[in-house]
Amino acid sequence: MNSTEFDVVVIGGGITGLFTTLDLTLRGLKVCLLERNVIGNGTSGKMHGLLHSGARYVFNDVESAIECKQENRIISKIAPHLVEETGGYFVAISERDERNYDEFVKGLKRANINYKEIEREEAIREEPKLTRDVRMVIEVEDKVVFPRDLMASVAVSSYLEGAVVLQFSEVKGFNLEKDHISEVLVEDKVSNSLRKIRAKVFLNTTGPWGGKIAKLAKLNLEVLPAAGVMNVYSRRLTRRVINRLRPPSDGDILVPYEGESIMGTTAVIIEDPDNFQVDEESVNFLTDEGSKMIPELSKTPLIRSYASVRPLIKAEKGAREATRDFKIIEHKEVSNLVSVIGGKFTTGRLAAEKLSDLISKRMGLNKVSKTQDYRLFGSDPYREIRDLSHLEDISQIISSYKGSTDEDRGKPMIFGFALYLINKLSRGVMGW
Amino acid sequence: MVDVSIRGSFSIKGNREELISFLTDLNKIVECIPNVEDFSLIDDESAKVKFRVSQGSISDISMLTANTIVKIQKGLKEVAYYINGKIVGSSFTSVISLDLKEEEGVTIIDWRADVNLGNALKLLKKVLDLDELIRSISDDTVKGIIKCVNGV
Repeated sequence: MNSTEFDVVVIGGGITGLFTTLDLTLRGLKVCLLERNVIGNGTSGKMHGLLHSGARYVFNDVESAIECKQENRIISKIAPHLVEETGGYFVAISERDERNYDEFVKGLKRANINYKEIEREEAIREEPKLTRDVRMVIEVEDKVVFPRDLMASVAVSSYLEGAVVLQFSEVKGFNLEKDHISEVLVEDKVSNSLRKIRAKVFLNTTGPWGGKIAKLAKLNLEVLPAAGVMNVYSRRLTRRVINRLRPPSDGDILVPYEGESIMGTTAVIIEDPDNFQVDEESVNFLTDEGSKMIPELSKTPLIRSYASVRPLIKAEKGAREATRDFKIIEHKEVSNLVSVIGGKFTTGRLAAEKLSDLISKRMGLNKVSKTQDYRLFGSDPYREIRDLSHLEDISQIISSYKGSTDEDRGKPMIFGFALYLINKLSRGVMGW
Repeated sequence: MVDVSIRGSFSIKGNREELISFLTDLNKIVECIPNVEDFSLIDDESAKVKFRVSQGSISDISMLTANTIVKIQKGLKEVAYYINGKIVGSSFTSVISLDLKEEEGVTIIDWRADVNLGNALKLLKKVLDLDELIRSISDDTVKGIIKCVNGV
């Protein structure tokens, strides 16, 4: 067995784990990220595509609303190539929705979120498929983000800055010495062998799988997985994101995702994030709810449904992290293991920054986060991929798309190739 | 075995017969319940009712949707509501029984709600104070009914 030593091993290649890897690497630490499958293959890669303006949370969680607003701007700045500035409407389509209006506007002001009241007629002109039952409309700065490509960008940037990013590397156990982990045992699925990696600190950023990883370190971590179903329809029906004007609930977001429409979401409690099925009831419910806002949705072919498994946590009001919906847990029994549970895709970078602040402090580093100003890989992917690939055949295949009809359609392919390359190159660094 | 059981009592001016007739008229009673978002009658004694209930602990789903079928049973001195439904993908049943006693122009209503939670729903207790949530929904419902009945 091989043994390699790092400052930090990050377990889980979702949005939080990836930004943590980048953040700590930019602070000068030697970091290794372990993902059991492909980067972004878990919860983060199955979100609805909405980069929140924060408006959705002004009813019940102003802290989250403010964080979403800030992160919306940061992600747009560091990855403009992966964000579509669609804008969003909050629509009141019933008397009950209308009653939420004053509280909503009050919340928007409290969180200092930009908004504009739109006349009903203007809204229908702008979004002709909106129901004629619409009573009130407020425009906000919702955007659409392409999650898989964003995560690939963060992974590649991390690699280019010096991190080791290993995919198909599943954590199978820990070697414990007294009150700390000395090394992690990893199943290398490429070579079918068991590897050992040493580190000073281990971070559990596996979301709904957090309880399973903690259990490997003989810890009990309560995580409640909830599946959120999303329906994908064959056509883009709106220019903007359409939200129902009510406190966050199920079936209240319709996202225009390139040429398609995604309707989300539900919350179904499940026992095992690796073993569940999308239920028909949720699928039908989403079409029903979405059709109330955009009636044409009921006649638009449903291409597929998928589910993202979120880890639900209880908000702790009055705690150090205020009402933040992610929780950083420093395990007392295993002193060098830290878990992060919960959080939204939009605020994943921020959760990573907070986690990285904690780890930096622990390691006596006096360096601040740079991720909010770091331009991510991929704004000119045809050029940047050359920094990664010295393989002539791959370079030529990719380059051949530039200047062709499919130059834009070829970009996601580049992110896929980039993930393949950094896995190969990272394995080389490890001697695997 | 009942998972959550809540009791209470309230009194209303008016005679028992009229009250029972009001409490068993599904069209009228759903108007009194603040958490009802949508309903459709199946027949005189049962209806499909969609509830949307508020909970503060999980910011992404501060409102939970419950799709239910409510069936009414009417007696001379009592009314019972049998509720079968699903919330967060898990089933639950509830029986709400009301005993009505008439004393000098005032009707005293002793009520009791027994709730059985499906296995997945029990897991929600990890992140939610489910007992407290059920109590607060019951309180809202009773207050809504009292307000409505007083307006009769």
